[in-house]
Amino acid sequence: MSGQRIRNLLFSLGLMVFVIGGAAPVAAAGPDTTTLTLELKEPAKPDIPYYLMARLVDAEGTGISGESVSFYRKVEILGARLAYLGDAETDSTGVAKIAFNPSKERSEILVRFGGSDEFAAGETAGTVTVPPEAVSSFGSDDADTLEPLRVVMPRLMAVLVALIWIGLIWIVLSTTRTIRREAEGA
Amino acid sequence: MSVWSLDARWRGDSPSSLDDASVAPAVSSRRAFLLCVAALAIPVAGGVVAYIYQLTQGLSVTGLNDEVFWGVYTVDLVTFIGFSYGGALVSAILRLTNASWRGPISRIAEATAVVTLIIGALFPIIHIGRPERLWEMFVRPQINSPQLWDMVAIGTYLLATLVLFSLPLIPDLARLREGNGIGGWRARLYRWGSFGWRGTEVQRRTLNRALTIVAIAIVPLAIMVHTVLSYAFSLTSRPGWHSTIFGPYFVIAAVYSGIAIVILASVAYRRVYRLEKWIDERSIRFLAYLMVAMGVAYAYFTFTEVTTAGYVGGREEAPVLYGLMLDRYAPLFWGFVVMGLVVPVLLVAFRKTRTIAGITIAAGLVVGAMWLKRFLIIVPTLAPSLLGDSYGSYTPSWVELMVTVGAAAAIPLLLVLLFRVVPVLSADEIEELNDQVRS
Repeated sequence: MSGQRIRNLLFSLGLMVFVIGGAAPVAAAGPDTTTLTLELKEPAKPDIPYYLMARLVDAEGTGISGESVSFYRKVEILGARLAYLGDAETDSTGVAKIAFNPSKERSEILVRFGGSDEFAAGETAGTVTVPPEAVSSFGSDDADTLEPLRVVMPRLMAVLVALIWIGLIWIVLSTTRTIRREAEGA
Repeated sequence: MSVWSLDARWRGDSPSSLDDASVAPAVSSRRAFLLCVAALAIPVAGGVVAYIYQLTQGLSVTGLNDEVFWGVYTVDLVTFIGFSYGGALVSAILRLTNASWRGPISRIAEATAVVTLIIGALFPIIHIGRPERLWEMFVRPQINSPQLWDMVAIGTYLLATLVLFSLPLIPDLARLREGNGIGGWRARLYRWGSFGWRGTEVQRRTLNRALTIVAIAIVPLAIMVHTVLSYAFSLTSRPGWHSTIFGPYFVIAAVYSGIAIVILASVAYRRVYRLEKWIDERSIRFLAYLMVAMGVAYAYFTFTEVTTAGYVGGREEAPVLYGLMLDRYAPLFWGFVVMGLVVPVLLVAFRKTRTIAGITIAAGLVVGAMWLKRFLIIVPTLAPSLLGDSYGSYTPSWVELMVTVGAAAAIPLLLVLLFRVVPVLSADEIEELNDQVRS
């Protein structure tokens, strides 16, 4: 290997070390990673609601305060979708909570943190379970109870439309048949 | 029956009998017919070419964008299907109420309903970027999809309008079976399509009963189907659309513009084929009265919509209303109010302007203004972004405009082709109504 080629190789290696070494601190300067956890806080007394609690922590496990967290419930209405439950701001321990009025014994909850300049976005999902006596009757946030309508209404409509089609075709056929029969009779 | 022709029209002659008048477009000069077809086929061909260009290049050749994702195509869909509902409702309601003046205009109203519906039903397909996937709706229907139900609604309505158009043809085709000077395949069609009609008591009773049932069915069907079309807007949570009055608002708009298009078609056939004796001024004037009544009702709905939203002035509604009435779209909105609501009503209200010419101008203004109103329902509502304070904009591209012009030209083209085959006047019905009036 000639001296010139060795010098070129060393220069390239040096350049790579410089670029990687310089770029590494830039890459590390992005938002801190975050972790979200979800839990259900049961009421101490019957007239106190359940609370959905989300804890937002940074990479070291320290609570992140003053950030907004959104809560959703997974529902099936005209297909799978998320029913928005509400937003809450994290307190000094990184906990955000909203009152929860369960309409089923088991509810699938999704919690989202949209991210900020300092902290990366994150989300977590979980299933919360309440005893049967804690399930409330229909509430404004309860889309699931419309499920029977979702199933029945389109099918009723389909039957109605089919009847209209059959009726119209029958009218045409019976009218033309009667006219033709009368003509042949005459 | 004598064979009346366009040569006679050039001499200033009017058809001498009702049967001659009903087939006037069918027996007129072949050269004039072909010239007319060619003149109308040019813009239609332009529209087809523009659509093929869109098909190859994608929807980026339209003015649609992330914010204003519905534009002229949706305007055309609502407008053309609205024309159809108007034509069918007029025919059905006048038949049910046994209005004696309906005879001369019922065939034109029914044909207009069929033709405009066929053209309007093409726009959902034109609007989608991948029309080759349409068949998926048939082989994998999603029963909860509004798109599927739109298709079902339009298909059902098309069947009903075809029935309403074709059943009254039976006695008229029977009149043309022999001795009308029309031979060849059209003569064979008349023989086949008349089903041996002899006008016996039983045949008349059967036909009238069937027509009454179809007319009864088509009124709620038209109302429901156009309401389903309005659901495409009102069932969204978008400010400006999420309104309970949208169903009746759309239905009234459809009848208003539908009557206007029936007036235009009737006046055109009346003038070109010298049918003044048969499509009398009274029928056109009564149609104009109906149109004005619908116009006043539509003005009331517009006032209610604007007042309800403007009085509360909600955070989301206010920018839509401001853009519509006082800012970017204000010239179009107030132009619609003047040209689409005020001037047509005034033209029909005053005896001096309540002439065929005045009514025709009023109907033309209504057709144009109602297209503009559909544009104002769609674009200004989509322009304010739901994310932040940005304000989108939309200008139709040449592709969209060419497709629109082509579709608009396709309506008279299809009518010209249709009335080359079937009688333009419902001669049997006119005679029956005249007998009723005399007795």
